Amino acid sequence: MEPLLRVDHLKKYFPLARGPLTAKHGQVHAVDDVSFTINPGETLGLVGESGCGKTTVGRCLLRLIEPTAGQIRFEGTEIAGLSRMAMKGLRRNMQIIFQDPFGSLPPRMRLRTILTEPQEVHGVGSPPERMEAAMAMLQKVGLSSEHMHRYPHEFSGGQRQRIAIARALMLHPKLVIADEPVSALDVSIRAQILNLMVRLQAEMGLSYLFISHDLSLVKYMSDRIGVMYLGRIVELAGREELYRRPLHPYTEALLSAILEPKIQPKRKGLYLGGEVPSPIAPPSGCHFHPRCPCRAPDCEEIRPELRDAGGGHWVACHPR
Amino acid sequence: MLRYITQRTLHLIAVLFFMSIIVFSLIKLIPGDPVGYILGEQATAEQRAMLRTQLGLDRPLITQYLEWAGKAITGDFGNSLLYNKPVMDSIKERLGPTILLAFASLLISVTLGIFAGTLAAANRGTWGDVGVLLFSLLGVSIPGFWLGIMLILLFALKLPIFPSIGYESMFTNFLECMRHLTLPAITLGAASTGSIARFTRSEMIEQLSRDYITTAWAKGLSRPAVIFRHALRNSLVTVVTLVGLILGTLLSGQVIVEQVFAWPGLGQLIIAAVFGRDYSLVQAIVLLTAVIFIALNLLVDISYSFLDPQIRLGKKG
Amino acid sequence: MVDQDRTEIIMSESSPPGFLTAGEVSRWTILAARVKANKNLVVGGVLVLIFVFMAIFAPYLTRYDPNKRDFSARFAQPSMHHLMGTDHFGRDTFSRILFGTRISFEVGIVSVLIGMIIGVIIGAVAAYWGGFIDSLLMRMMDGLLAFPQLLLAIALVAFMTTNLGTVSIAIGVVFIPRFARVMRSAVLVEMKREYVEAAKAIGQSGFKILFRHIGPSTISPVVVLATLVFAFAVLTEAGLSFLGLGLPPPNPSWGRMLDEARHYLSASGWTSFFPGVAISLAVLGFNLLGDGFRDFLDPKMSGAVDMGKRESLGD
Repeated sequence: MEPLLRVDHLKKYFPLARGPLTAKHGQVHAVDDVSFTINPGETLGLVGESGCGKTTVGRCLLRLIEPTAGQIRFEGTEIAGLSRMAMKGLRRNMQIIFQDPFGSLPPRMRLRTILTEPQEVHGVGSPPERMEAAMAMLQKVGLSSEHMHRYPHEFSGGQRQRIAIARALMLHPKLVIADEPVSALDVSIRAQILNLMVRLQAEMGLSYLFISHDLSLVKYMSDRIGVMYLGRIVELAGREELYRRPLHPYTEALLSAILEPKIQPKRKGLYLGGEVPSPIAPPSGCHFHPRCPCRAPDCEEIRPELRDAGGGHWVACHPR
Repeated sequence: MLRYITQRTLHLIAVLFFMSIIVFSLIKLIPGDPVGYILGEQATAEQRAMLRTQLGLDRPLITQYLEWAGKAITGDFGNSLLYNKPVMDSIKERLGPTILLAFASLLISVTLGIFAGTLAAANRGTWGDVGVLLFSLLGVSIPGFWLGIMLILLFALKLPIFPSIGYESMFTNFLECMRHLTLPAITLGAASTGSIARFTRSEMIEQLSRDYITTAWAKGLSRPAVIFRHALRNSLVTVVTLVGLILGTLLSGQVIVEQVFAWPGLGQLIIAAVFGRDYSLVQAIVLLTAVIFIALNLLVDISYSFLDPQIRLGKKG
Repeated sequence: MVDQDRTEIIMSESSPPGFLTAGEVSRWTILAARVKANKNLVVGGVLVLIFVFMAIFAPYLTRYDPNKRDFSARFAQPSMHHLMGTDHFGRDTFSRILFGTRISFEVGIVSVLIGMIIGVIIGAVAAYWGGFIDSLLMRMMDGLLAFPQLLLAIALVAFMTTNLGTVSIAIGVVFIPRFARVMRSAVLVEMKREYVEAAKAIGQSGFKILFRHIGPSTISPVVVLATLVFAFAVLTEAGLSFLGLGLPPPNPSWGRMLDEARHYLSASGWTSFFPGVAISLAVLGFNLLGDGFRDFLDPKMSGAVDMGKRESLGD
């Protein structure tokens, strides 16, 4: 089966200083050679601490940020070099839900405009048809369509996120990038929104790229999970497989940090010292080697590539 | 630091460039043939041709600009048609009175403004404070020419204290000079006084709420000492900004005030030039004023960043 | 795992936006209260409305033709016949003031519109496209700002035949850079917000984004500036007329009235008094109105509660 999305060696470096008269004092290696695929109908989770580059990856896929290098293929079509017009057509298939429900909706636009706009931009249907579609979608996400004339600030955070989801789905995309969709919401609301996303996925045949720093959320939502550290994917595996058999020390550390109210033999915990280094001057070789408890001499010199550990389980770590 | 200076210089050059383009293109605003406009109906064909060559109008636009700019930098603006001498000479004659008036108004507005603003801040909420605020609001709204006329009416005609118009050099007769200077300087300074008072007031209010003032009170210092010695000194840093604020008002207002009081400065000169269709003179005065304005603003900016580390240290102390 | 979907109902129809109140308080009551609390807005508004009234109903408020000369009644003192006296040509001052209001408003409106429309476009383009275009446009604006305001207006109008159009353009050009700057800051602030990215993700064109998404959030600062700038337009028009560079006679511009009157100060002080009062009050009114708008439109002081903060209610 042809993957829906295929990312190869994606890189994004940000120059540090700006201005014609200033010398570049280095770059921020936000995304440092990242590759993965997403299959139709599945959810790929991308997890990592803040600053690991996962948000940048999401933005690059939609070319909201232009990648520095690498290939992005959607249904076989290479995205990175497309013209604006061609890209616009592709946007119908890929949409995004942002983290901040307050900032991601235009404050002075009424709901009805916000929701009919996507179809209007792409010339889908007549105005009354768009309105109908908008009302139907609004109901689908659990809101009453009688609020079409209201402004975003009249709704609560959870409701706004529902609106954001509705907006993203108006064009019936195949892939939805969810960038920390519930991190800004109250804990009690999170489950509702996540379940809504799961339900919609089944109903509309969506694929998700679920980005989050919260491993428990990612575990709940994803079929496969990619763990990112300092701009690189260090491990990529199916959900159960990752949980039961983490191969990368960083993944182990993340798992150890999850508090679980279970009466089960506790996993052997791995606790890291130190802080995440700056992405401006990342450590050589394996980025993780300064904090790694099983560091080998090779780790400092050679960058580990993602190698197949069997059963769809990939890890970027030198064999120990 | 070097980066800052380079950026600033480039910025300055760009601004000067665009400004000069604007001044240069003023002549293009004249409807029809500029030469005919300047010389009038009676001009002969020879005179027109001569003026045309003189102004460089027979050459391509870019050459015109470069020549004009080149000469301008050296101070050569050609001859004034009105006064039949080099433009720069006419300007130089008027510089003295202009600077005198500008300086006097600056002095008045800064001292009066700071004083009023300080008192207002110290007596916040009282009628005095309200009065100062009202006064500054009026200062911005009342047109300078009207204030001037009213002052003449009251203090020169009804009560003959000051002369209504005219100028006396300070070197020939100092007292007379001051007498002639008073009304114009007050008129020109009025609007600025208001702005400065308002600004000083808000700065002082902020300073007076700081901890070190409370310490001064606790030490038992007298009221004037606290206000003037401590708070004011720190607010003075912003005097520089104040001057920057009112520069534009002073430079603009001077044209009007000089008309009202027949003060022989550059303001009066430019009006005479406009009505006399002395285009070169108008252009020269406008350019010079803009350059001075840019220069003074630059000085304000630079001195502000100089004082900045002082402010930083002061705030931490 | 909770797997329930609930339809949320937010609030009753008659509540003002963002407000959850116990009783049924209409949004108009709250608006009126806020307006009354803002003294600047009230006083400024009243003053401006008075002048608007004068401008519109000028012919009905006086029985004298503002340009009719009557040499038998020169320099008359204010009286029942001539409310504000007469000038050196025997023309009724009150009528001239009334019709002068029209001139001030006409020039004011046209010049502010010119400055606003051009300035706003430049500011928005500079902010949205950034980079070189931004630097270029802003340096050009700085070039305009290099001139003291009145001087620039004088320079522009100096060699043009003066009529409503040219005077308004001359004053309007002075305002362009100010509007450009304000618009640019407002747009830059909005562009950092995520909804702009969201609009790009949908594929919306830059122009539409500026207009529909960012634009409405920039209205407030522009309106405040427009009001304050109007005050300045009135003042500048008066100044230009005073210098003889405004609308030609016999147009009863207040500034020109002052210029004519000052030559006859010994004959009558009243002729110079009233035009000045008119100018001052008009400028004062717009200044107050502008300050009032600034405070009124400041979202922090609007008093409305952002529903987003009240997560648990209604969700």
